Amino acid sequence: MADTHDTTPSVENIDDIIHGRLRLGVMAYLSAVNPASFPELVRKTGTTHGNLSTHLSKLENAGYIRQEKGYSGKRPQTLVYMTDAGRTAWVNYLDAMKELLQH
Amino acid sequence: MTEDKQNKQLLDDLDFAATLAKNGASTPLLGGRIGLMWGILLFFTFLMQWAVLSRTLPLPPASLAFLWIGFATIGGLGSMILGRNISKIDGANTIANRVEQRIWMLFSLMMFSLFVGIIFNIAFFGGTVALFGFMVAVGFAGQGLAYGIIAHISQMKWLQINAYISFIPSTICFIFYNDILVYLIGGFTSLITIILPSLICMKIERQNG
Repeated sequence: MADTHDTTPSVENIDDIIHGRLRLGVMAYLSAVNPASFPELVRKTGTTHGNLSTHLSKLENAGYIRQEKGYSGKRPQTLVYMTDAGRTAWVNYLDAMKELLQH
Repeated sequence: MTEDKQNKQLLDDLDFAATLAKNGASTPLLGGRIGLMWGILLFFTFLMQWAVLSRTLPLPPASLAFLWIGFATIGGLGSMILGRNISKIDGANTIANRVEQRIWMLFSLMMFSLFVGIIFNIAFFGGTVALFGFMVAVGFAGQGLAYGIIAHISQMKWLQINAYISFIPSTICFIFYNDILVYLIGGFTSLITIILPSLICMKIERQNG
């Protein structure tokens, strides 16, 4: 029987939730530093608090990150964690991009 | 947007992501200052212990209890304060830094559990104070193990060498564990195996901004 499954890499395989400059940057940084504080992500990505907050919400709604509000000494601190689902999605995203760029 | 522009945008985005990931992953070990503090504390505490036991310093042996209480209190508080400062540094939660934090905490617990066991042995089972010399030997072996794991995770070859070097004083201290010389050996070895690598870690941290 002939294999009818289309193996051509497609942009449809690219995870839209990760695929955005800022969200991509956040996922990349969290893949190396997990957790990272909210101000740390602002400094590293060079974006604004509001913009980062919006994009973190998208990632959080997808279950890729988790935000934990707490305190560092007496100051409030938000820590951003990459979840197991986020790590899996990140690896899949990189694989899909690699496939796409190789063709 | 044309395909060329899309590709350029995509490559720019991927480059941005790669830069961020590399930036995070290249964070140096941040525990140098804590190591330096413990190294200096150990150096002076061991020398004091030797000086009191050898009667170089005319203090009663009971004063050693205060010496070690002071050591634990200053070290504990210092670790807490320095640890809090380190947690504010970008990249403090890389795998290597998390392993470093965890392994030294477990090392402290290991030493504390030995200390409690020795106290009970001396109090109820006829043990002698020479058992504290045994702690020094075990401490250096544990230190070698801890440095070895941190060096492996952070891929720092020079730290791996320091890990192996730490096993040498462990053997020497075991040979002299029931002699007061063990504290003198422990003190001077702390300079090489704790203070020196801590200073190198701090220098690397400064170089990385």
